[in-house]
Amino acid sequence: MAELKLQSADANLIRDLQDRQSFWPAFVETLRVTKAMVQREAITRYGSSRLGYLLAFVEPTLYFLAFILLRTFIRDKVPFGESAVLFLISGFITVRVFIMVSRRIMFSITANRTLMVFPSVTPLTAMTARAAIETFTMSTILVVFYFFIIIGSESTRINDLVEITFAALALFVLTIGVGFLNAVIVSLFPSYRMIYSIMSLPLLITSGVFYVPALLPIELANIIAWNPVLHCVEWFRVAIYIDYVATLDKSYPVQLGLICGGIGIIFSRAFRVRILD
Amino acid sequence: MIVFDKLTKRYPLQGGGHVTILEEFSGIVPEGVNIGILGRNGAGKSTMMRLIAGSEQPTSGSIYRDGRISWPLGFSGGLHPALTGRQNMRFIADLYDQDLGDIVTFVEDFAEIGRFIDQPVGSYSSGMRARLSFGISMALEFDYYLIDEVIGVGDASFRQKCDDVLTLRRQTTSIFLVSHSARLLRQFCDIGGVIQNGKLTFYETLEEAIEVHAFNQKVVAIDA
Repeated sequence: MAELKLQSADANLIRDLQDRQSFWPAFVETLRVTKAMVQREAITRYGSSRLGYLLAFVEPTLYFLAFILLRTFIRDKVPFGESAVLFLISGFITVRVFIMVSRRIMFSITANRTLMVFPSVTPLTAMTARAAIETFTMSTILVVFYFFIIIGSESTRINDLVEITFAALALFVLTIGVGFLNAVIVSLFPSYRMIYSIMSLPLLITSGVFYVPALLPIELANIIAWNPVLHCVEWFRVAIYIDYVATLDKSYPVQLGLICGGIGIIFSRAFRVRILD
Repeated sequence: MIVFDKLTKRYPLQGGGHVTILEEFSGIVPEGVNIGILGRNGAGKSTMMRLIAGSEQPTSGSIYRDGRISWPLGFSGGLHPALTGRQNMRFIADLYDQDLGDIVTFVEDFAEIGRFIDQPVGSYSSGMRARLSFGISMALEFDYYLIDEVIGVGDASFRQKCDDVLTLRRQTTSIFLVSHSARLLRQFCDIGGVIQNGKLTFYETLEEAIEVHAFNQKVVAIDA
């Protein structure tokens, strides 16, 4: 048998080829791919019509109405401040954003698996695209809801608009970080979705939605302080009320989000082949 | 031009040890040459495709790519079931920065899916999905078409269409094909190689490569 030797590359050619691999074109391509992925996500998130975008507001609006209805029947004392709706919404909408968005990012890899035959579509682009869509949607919802709460009541106003922006940023860092880690775990161990679903109720209860955490017995407060979403809820309330007594460690949700997100990104690259199988 | 520089790929095996797909492979694949690689199942043909495409990283060594390289083409992947045929085309056109209009025109003629083009791909039959997927890949302009196995699904007229378009492409661009079918190699390739036990060997003529592959297959049969 006559073997055919392919010409081998000499050192000069290799050096030349290495020089041509620059950062900028790769960066431009990543942007283009991410943009295409965001558009593809938007189609299934909202449907093809503009009306679909409004559907994203339906769920939070229903909760909002439910709270108002609840108040008209149960005239209990307000946990804090003058508006019970504002107090409950500040907690509840925060927890809902966390649960919904971290859950949607969780399925970003599995939902886009068929597209990953394209080398430029990586688990990371899928996670990033969905995180972008969800952040955009939920930010709009937050802005709209707080806006309506303020104009809907004469006595209610938000104390510190800059602080509430930081609270929202922290919430998204935590949510996206946890979402990234979720996405990798669920694509390797599909049954994880059940565990995560079960966790959402205890998460809601320990997030301080219905009470002021600082007024709990210290032993209990110390336990629920491990819940990072609680700190986001408290951060929102610190920004809303002038004299709110908070159980708040601002660095905790941000650091935890960054760590989870970092692990998610590293694992998504390390296990790329296993994720795609 | 695709340049392999001391390319090594190993996979860890469960329970220790590893399997070597390629060991220190070097070589240049110039543009315009159609290459076919034969190998039995598990020899690493698909891994080879993913390495060239860039969706898998080598254990050591590098691959340098000059020119537009397709994804590993098959008949199912690359379509999102929730998107319509047209939306899928738009996505792929954006991904590869190519003109959507040209792609739609080509695919409408090639895939013959008619008004289903605006229906979600999830509602397609497997034949329609295959025609759409292959049609889109042939509509895009690449310098290298990576083809993994699988040509020859669907009915006779579709097979003929695929053959025709590939025959056209092999004259102007490069086809890089992995398969265990000698027929495809004879039909589309200029150079034949065999991948076996971590070694990729090319042969002077296609027939030699086919013979070596046939021999390897028999050895496996006896081993089993």
